[in-house]
Amino acid sequence: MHRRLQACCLAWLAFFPAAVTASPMVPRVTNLSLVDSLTDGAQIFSQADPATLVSGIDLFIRAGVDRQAPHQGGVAGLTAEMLLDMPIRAEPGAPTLNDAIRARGGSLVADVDGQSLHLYLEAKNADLADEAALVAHVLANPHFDNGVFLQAVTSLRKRVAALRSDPLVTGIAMFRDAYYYNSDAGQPPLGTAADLQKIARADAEAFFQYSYRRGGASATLVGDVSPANKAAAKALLLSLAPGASQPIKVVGRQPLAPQTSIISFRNIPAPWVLLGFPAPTPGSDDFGAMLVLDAILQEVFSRASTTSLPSSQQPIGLQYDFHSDPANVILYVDGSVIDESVALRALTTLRLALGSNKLDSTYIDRYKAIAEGCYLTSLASLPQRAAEIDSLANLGLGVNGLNTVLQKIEAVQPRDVQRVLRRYFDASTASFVLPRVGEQR
Amino acid sequence: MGFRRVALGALMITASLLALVEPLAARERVTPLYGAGILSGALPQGGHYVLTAPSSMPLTALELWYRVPSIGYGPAIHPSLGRLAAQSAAASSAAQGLSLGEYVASIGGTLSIDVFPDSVAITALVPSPEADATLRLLTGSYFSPHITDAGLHRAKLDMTTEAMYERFDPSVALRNALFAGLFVAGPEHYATLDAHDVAALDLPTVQAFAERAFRPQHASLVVTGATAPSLLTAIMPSATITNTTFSEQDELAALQSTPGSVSTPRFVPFSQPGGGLAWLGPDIDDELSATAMDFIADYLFHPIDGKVTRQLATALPDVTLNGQFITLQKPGIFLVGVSGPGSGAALHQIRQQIQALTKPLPPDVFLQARRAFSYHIQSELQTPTGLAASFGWYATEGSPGYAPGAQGADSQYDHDIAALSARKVAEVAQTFLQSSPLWVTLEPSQSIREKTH
Repeated sequence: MHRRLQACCLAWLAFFPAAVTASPMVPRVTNLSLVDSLTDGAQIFSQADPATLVSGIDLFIRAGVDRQAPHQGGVAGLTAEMLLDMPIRAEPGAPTLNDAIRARGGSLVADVDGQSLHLYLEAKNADLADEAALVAHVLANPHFDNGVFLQAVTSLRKRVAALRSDPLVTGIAMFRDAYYYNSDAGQPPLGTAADLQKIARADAEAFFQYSYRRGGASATLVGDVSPANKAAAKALLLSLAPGASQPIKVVGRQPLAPQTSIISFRNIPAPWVLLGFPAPTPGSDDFGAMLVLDAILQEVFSRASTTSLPSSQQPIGLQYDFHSDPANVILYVDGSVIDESVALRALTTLRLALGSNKLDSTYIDRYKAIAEGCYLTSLASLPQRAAEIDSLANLGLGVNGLNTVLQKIEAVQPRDVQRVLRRYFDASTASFVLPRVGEQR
Repeated sequence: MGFRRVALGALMITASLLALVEPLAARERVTPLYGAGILSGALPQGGHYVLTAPSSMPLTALELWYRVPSIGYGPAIHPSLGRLAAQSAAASSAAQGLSLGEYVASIGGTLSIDVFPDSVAITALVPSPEADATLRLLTGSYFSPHITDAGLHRAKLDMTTEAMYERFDPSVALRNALFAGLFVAGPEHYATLDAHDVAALDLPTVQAFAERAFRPQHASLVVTGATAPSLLTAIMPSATITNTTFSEQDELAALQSTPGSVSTPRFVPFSQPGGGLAWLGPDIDDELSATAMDFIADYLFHPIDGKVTRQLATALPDVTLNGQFITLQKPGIFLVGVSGPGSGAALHQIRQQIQALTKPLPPDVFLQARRAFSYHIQSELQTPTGLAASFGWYATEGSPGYAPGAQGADSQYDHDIAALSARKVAEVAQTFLQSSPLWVTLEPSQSIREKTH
C-alpha cells in the first residue's frame, strides 16, 4: 500500500500544472435571510427550502467546553444531556423532553463542541412550532433533579467508554488538549471517565445558569419559514436568560514547544499518527486558500476509488476544524494500512514541491472546483446546513456565510496557496496512539 | 385575488416548463403521479425520468436505476457481475475524456453505486452548475456502455478492497447468510460481491452484460435538488447497437428468486459473535401490509428511537442492531441482525418483542409510534439523494406511486400510514412474523460448518 501512496504522490507531482477545465459557474445558495435581531446580540436566520417536508431549528448557544472550569471536565456535555432527559412538567410521570418530542414525531439532538452547543430540533413542517414551544418551556423551566442527573451520567459513561477505544478520537483529543492550552476548549466535550466520577448535579445546574444565555446566541430556521416557525425560533431564543457568558481562562499552562510529540497507548494492533497544524478561521484572508490546499491534500492522500469512500475506509486523511477559534487542521494516518513513515515523507515531498514550483492558475482552478463541491456536499441535510449558517454567522461572516465561503474559494490565486502552506504547515504537533505491549503488529 | 394570482403563476410556470423540454417532444407531463411541479415522462429510447421542483441549495442528485439480475442472465451464475459491470462503466472513460468517477471527483461531488440482487442504482451528488455535464456523462456511460481494460482493472481493484472491508462487517455477513437461506435459487440467493468471482470475470462477459442490462429501456432516471427542466436536454441517447432481441419473458425469469424452507438454522464462522432473523413478507402490491411491516421495523428498530434499540442501549450496550423491512416486488423481506457480545440474548429479546406485536398495541402507544414513523419517513427525504432513492427504488420495483414523497406530504404512502390501525399491524404481524424465522448465527470460529437441529 505504501508503494501505491508514493506512486500516487509522484503521479500527482507530474500532473501539475496540466490544464483542467474550471467550473463553469460559481454555485450560489439562495433564500438566506436575517429574520430578526434581539437584545444581547442574539439573531434569527432562515433558509427557506420549499422542497422539504420537514423543517428544523438549530439553536446555537455559547455553552461549549470553554465555559467549564478546569476541575469541571465533562460538565458541558452533561448539562446538554440532562436537558434532553428533563421532564417537561414538574410532576411525577411526566415525559422527558426527548420522549415528548419523539412521541409527537420529531427529533432533538444536542452537540457540544469546544466553544458552543448546537441544539437541533426537527419536525414535520406543521409540527415544528408546537415542538419548539416544548423545548422553550424546558429551557425556561429546567429541572435538575437527581434522577435526571444519574440517567445522564450513565448514558455519558457508555459513550465515553466507546469513544476511548477509537484511536482517531484519542489522537485528536490529545492534539486539542495541547493546542487549546489557555482554555478548556480542547477538552473532550463529554469529559473522561474520571471527570464523570467527580462531577455533581449542582455543577450542571451552575453551568446552565452561567452559560445558557441569549448573549451571542442565534437560531437558524431551515425548511418551511412560515410566520409560526419564525415565531417559534424567536421564542427559543427568548427562553434563554439575558446576558452573556465568557470563556473561562486557564492560567499556568504553556503552549507546547514546536515539533513536540504526545504519546498515548491503546489496545490497537498498529500505531496511528496525527499531525496537527494551526489553521485560519473563516473570517481570515487565508481561509479560501486553506480549503483549496485541503482539497489538494485530500486528493493526494485519499485512497483512489471510482466511488466515494466512507471515512471508515480512509486510512489516511485530513480533518479541518474551522468552527473553533483558533482553527486547526489534522493529518491522520492509520498505521495498520499505511506505513506512517512513508506517509509523512510524502507530506514533506508535497510541501516542498508545492512551495518551490510555480503553480499554474488552471491547476489551482481544478482544486477550487473540488473545494467548492466538497463544501456544498457536506451541507446536503437540514441539520448540517442550519448548524453551518449559525456557526459562520457567529464567526463573523453574517447571514450570507455559505456564499462568502464559496466566494473566498473562488478568489484564491496560486500565490495564496503557497503563502498558506508556508504560514501554517511549518510546525506541527504530533500525536502518536501506540499499541500497548503485546498488541503490536 | 391572491389565489387567482397564484393559480395564474402556476399555469405560467407549467407552460414554461413544458416549453423548455421540447426536445423530449410531448412525452413529458407534469404528472399527478409525483405531484405539483414534478416533471416525469418517458426517456427518448424507453425507460422513464422524474425531475423534481428546485430547492434552495445548489446541489443536484442524479440517480440512474435499473432492474437487473446481479448474477447475470445465465446460464452461468456470476454473483458479482452486476456490481462489476456498474463499477466498470463508471470507471471507463471515453477517448481523451474523464470517466464518470473521475469527473464527479474532479468537481468535489460524490458518486455511489448500490447493487441489490435485482437492481442497481448509480447516484451522483454534484454542485448544480455541473449537473448538465454530469448527466451527460452518467447517461453516456450507461446507455452506451463501453468498458475499457483500464476501467475494468480499476473496478476490480476497488471491489477487491471493498470485499476486504466487507469480510469484517457483520451486517454484510448476516445479510448474505439470511438471503442465502431464504432463497434457494435466483439473484437473491447470492451475495453481490465475491472476490474470487470478481477476479475471474473477463472484459467480454462484463461488456455483454452491461450492454444488455443498462439499456435506456430499463432505466429510471431521477433528478432532485436544484433542478431545471433544461437539464433533460443533457440526456445522451444510446449508441449501443445490439442485434439481439431479448425476450421480456427471459428478462423477467432472470430476476426471479425461489424461496426455500426457512426451518434450518445456519451457522456462519465470523470474527465476532452475532445473529440474525428473517421472514418473507408481503409483496409490494399489498401496500397496506408492506407499510405495516415498515411501521413494525421502525417501531422496534429505528436507529435512535426504536423500542428494541433503546432497550439494548441500556441492557446490552455492546450489541449493534440493524432491522428493516425490504420492500420488493415479491416477496418483501423482514430481517434483523445483531453483532457483538450479548447477541444471543439480544436475539431472544427481539423475538419476544416481535411476538408481542401480534397483539394490538395500546391506543396511545400506537398513535405515538405512528406519528414517529411518519416523521422518520419524511425526514429521510430531506436530502436530494434521499428523495431520489425513494423515487428510484419504488419505480424500479414497479410501484412508483407508492414512493414516499410522491405527492409531497400527501403521498399514497402517507395515506397508508394514516390508514394503519393497531389491529391491522397486529394482523400483519400474525400473518408474516408469527411463523418461525430463519435463524443465522455468527460464530467466532475458524472452521466452516453447518449445523441442523
